[in-house]
Amino acid sequence: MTLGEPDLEALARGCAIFGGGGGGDPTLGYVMAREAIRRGGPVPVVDLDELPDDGLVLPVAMVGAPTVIEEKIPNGSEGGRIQAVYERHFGRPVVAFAVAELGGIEGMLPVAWAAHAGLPLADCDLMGRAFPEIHMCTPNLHGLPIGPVVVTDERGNVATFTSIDAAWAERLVRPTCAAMGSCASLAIYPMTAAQARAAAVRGSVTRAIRVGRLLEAGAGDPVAVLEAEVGAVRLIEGKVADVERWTTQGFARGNAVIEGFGHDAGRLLRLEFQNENLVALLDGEPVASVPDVITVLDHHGAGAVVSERLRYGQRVTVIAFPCHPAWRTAPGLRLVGPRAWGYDLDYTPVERIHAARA
Amino acid sequence: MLGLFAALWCRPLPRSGPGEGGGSAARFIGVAGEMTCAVARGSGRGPGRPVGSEWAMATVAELLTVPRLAGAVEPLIPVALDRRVESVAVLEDLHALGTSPPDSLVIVAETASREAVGYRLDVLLRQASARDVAALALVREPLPRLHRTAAELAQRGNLALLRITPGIGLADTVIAIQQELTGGVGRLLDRARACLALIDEAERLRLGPPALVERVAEALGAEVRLGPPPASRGWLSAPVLVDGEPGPWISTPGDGTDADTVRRLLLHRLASAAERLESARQRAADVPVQTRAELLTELLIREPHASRDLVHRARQLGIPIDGWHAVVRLELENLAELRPGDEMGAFNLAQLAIRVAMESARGTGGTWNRAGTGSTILLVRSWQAEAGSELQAEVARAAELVIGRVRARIPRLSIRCGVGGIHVGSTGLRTSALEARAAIAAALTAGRRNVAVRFDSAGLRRVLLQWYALDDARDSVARLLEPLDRLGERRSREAIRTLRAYLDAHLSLSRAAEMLGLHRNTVAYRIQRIFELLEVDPDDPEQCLMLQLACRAREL
Repeated sequence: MTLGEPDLEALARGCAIFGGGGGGDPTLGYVMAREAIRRGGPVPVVDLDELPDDGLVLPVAMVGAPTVIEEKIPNGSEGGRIQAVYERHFGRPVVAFAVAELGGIEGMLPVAWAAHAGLPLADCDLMGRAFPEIHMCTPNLHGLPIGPVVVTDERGNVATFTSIDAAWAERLVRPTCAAMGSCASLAIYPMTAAQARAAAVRGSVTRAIRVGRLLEAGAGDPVAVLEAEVGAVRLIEGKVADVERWTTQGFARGNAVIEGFGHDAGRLLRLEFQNENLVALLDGEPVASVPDVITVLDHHGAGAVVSERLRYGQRVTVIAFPCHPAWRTAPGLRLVGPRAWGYDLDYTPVERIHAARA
Repeated sequence: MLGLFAALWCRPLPRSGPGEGGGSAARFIGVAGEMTCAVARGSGRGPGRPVGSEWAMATVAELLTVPRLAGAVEPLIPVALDRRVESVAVLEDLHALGTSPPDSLVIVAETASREAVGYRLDVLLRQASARDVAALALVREPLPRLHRTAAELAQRGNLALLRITPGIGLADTVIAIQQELTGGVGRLLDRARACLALIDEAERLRLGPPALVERVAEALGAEVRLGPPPASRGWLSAPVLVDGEPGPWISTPGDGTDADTVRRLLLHRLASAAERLESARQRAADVPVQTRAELLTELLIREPHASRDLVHRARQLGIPIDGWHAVVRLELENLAELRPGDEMGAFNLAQLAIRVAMESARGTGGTWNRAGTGSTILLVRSWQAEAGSELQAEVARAAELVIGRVRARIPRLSIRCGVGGIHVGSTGLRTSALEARAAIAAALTAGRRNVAVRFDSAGLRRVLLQWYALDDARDSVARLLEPLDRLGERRSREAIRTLRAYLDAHLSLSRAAEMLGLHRNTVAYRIQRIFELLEVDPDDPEQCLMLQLACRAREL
């Protein structure tokens, strides 16, 4: 398919849903992608099968605190700079950009950079959702190297890291990001199309657009739409009664309390987040946890509310839906399961919890 | 040892029958990851029942008052404090809560308490509620605030959420709670021990008896009253003796068991401490009064010319000696009859009367001091500003009240009371004291007891008539005024009229001149001349009073 200006809104909406509270507010990415498309034309979204086996695919993203990204805006040249570094490094051209994480602004910026570069966007991402750390990608489970990792900022600074593993890359990139002002652009897991076919989450861009369109159309209950499309379950409908938020080690951490109303009256949902929503406890009982996706929907508009936009008094519906199957494997859970975030909880698939409660 | 077990339970077991090896003694049984502390179990506490009876349950609120835990355990939110607790448990691993019995108080050990924050506290509270746990106690520093979800979960689960100060011995805490849950004499002894420590401390701090009784009641976990002897049966009591006389009673409900012996011992210890504290309080309150009383007494006894230094000291002690004064004189007539052959007893009665008289007088308002010795009490009402004669009635009313109060405390006491007029300065004080004595003399003549007799014109006229009817009195008056009589009838009458006005005006030349319609200098000249002729010291209130009586008698 070709991704033109009319599709951007649906993509932004879909990215917010899959972002699980993280990935930053897609609005800025939407505006940048729109400007890039207006200048460079629509962006072809290609299936990985359409790319040559040895074609270099470049997954790109923003790294840093979402709250900073809103004020320290990329200038659009970051994608081209990263592309040049990789082409020099590998000695061959990049055939497509790819979305590193499907969430919020992270799903939109690659569109802008692809439009600037005149390259297609591969229909895949590396998480099937958003996670806060750069090594939390499905290629990590396939043993692909994360590097070289290229980090750049809007001033033109470029840093390249070749680390011994993905965790070390995260450890090296995070302080560089802080030095660049707590927000930077980067590319990770440069790979061939053949590698991507096995290691990436395929079809995620078109899925996000499809979900976005369905919600945009406003056909019936958005939760029912998401239930049909992604297997979502409703955790609670209620009002945000309390939000505790603090920024530490480059992450926005905290928790929110949602006080149920309607048929959820008398219930309290505690939502724990670290950029993304990690755990939801209903009256002290875990009802969803990473790696499944927990998303807060605005009760009136059905759009997703990212964690940094949660405010006291908002009327919301909290949903959760299954993550990509790769994350439910033992290595996947070791990397992104609840215990990886310090939660003393065993992972139970959200659909199984929901079935037991029903 | 504790560390080897996931949880330590101290649970009261059903009461064993004879020969079953039961009873109230604790025994510990280790059972695969838990310990059981077996104790007697009763039927629960009824409202208003005394501490120490054999109950095996207590509410959370009652446990918070256990003396050994006082101040170390507090509720994080005021929820479920009325929940009854049947057993106590220590939780060292947050995952082990699943074995906790219903209605237990679960103490989360310090390490586990550090983990029980955020969502983990929510999970713990939910699990505790699901198991119908009565209370969860976390060992931690005070929280700035309890998270909304934790507070809500505790409230919904009717679960008390407590905080135990870190550093307090966990084993001691468990034993103290277990002993409280066990009930019986052991529990009472534990509380009585704390009460005794409290009483010792109260004596050291010199607390007042009401504050002491309040603290002891809290530590005992039972009602303790300070007041009249208890009317209800089943109450135990002990009197508080003050100055050897029965004062208020201290009482607490008993239950007719052996535990009452402990209660009686405690009550008597408490009563004796209250007696010492009250006596010390009275002595402390009496020290400045005593000093002032001694000084005033000396001032009234000494010759006027020798009392200048006393006047100075009176000022230093804050006695408004330069102001206006009225003296109430009380003579206690029959102390010896009330305590025949008991000199000390009579003395104590007099002290009691003095204290009650002074407290009653002060209760009417204004500045009061006292003087007097033995069975004579002088109450001095003083004013800084000029006091009108209408205030004399007020003083007389105060005197009536004083008599009433003293006689209410010592019913068969016979009191004669005289109230002097209001006069200025140290001389005025002496004058008022003399007037009060004269009023008592009038009361004596008229056979009036237990009423205040005022030294005013109405009362005095009658006294004067009775007195002037006596030959001796007429001779005295004639001798005293003879120098004036020698001036001739007209000049003598004029001199006596001038003298009386001067004396009635409390030695004020201006007011006397006003009363006589003369110039002040004229009065001054006449008074100087009169005193030269009479050879009377105008600064001697006794001579002045005699002179005043003579002038008035001559006009009868």
